[in-house]
Amino acid sequence: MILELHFKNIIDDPLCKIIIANKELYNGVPPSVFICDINVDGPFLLEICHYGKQPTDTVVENNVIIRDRSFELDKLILDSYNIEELIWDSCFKADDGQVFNSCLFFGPNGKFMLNAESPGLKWILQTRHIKNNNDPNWEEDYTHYVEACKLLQK
Amino acid sequence: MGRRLYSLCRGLQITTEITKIRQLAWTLAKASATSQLDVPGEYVWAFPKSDTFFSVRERSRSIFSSGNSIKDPDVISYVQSLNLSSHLLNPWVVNEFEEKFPSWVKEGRRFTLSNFELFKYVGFSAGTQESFINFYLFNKDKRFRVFRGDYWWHMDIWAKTNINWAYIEDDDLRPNDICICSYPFALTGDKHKQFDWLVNKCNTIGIKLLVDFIYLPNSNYAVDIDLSAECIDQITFSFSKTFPVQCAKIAVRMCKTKPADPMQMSNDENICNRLSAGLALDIINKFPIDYNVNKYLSQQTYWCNKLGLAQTKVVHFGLGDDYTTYGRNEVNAWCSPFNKQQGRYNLGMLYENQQLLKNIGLSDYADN
Repeated sequence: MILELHFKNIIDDPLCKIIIANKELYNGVPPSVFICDINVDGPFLLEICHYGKQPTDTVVENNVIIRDRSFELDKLILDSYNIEELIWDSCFKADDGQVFNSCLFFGPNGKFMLNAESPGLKWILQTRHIKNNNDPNWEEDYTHYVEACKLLQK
Repeated sequence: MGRRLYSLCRGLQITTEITKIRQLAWTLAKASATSQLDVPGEYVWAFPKSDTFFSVRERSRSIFSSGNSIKDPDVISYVQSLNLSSHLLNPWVVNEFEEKFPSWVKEGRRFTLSNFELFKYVGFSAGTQESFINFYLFNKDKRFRVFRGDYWWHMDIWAKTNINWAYIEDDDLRPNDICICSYPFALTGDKHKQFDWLVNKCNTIGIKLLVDFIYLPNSNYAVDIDLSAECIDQITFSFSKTFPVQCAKIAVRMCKTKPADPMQMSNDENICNRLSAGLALDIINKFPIDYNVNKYLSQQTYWCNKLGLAQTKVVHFGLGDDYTTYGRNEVNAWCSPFNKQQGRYNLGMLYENQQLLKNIGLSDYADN
């Protein structure tokens, strides 16, 4: 599975770890785009850990934060398919125990978590249909598409 | 799974192989996106925006729609070899085409047009749509009538321009009505079962009937008509359903009496499109009217048997259950809400892409 993560608003070299199915894929300052090809099949947990931030990394003047080491997750692409609205099914669990649902902002130290599946397209179609009940033929269509791809690669 | 019954009017039942049809649709759509077709599409909408699932899915739903011609590689190759611009310098080229066209039609042995010679006035038409627009214009105070399932463009234009019209099924024919009927009928590829009734009724009431022979060249013993019927004084023919020259807009209108409309004026002024008329002349000098039927009839039989479709009398059509129950409904029909041809399969893409389909194991059709 090809995983593609797009980050934005990366301020003051924050640090992160990208982990899939308990396997660390990256450790360092988040790049604007992270791409990797990983061998994963079926359900997996994507974790993005924000760590190493100190109180001094947040500069406050007159009770207003004027600078803050942080970053944001902008897009998540699985096997070339942007998961779009499904990215909001994630949560961010801060190290102090607070849980923020649908949070793509990495302010405090903590862990972003999203449960997904490989193949990515199949998971996207299935999840959308479960949520919206508007694509009853998704599985048949997916099978036809995969079959067509295979046939045309002959 | 994937098999539904298609009821034929003769009481036979054929099982539409929905799963096989969808597999072909997806494969051809994907091949469109990745430029793997033997013969690529001729319209922007025939090319998926990308080869992703969502774009391919959208295209897969329209693979068998439209009534357009088979994109025959030999015709394409011939057309590409022509020096069309030379026709611009030939003031007589439109007349030559108009003179040659009736004899080209008469050479056909797979249909019967009795009293065809009564239609003395032959006019080049920029697609049948030009003929239709002129027909609407000159009968603007009448109520237009068609059977359900006829060419959706009529209804769409009438609805958009507030022209008075009604389906023949919905009201009696009345003296101020005027009718259009395709023969073979657009939806079924055969004579409309009420066609004879319509001719008799029009004659009795004294109203006109335009007969659109849109699929005549591709038809196989579907048409047998006596054109001396008083109600029939205009007939039309289309090249876009016969040869892959859709976008050259080539058609012919034939009338018993000389019309006096803008289209005829263009003919009289000698300002018709000479590129298209010249192309049409080149084509009829090279290919007989029943070229497609001769070439593709056995493929039609093969694919209809394989896919559980009823073989129609138009060589590029088969009839069956809709292979997609979504995306082509009334709200979301292709191009127009009046385009309801879900059960009519245009088999052209299967014929054109025979080599690709053989290579990937989806066809075992054997050429003789």
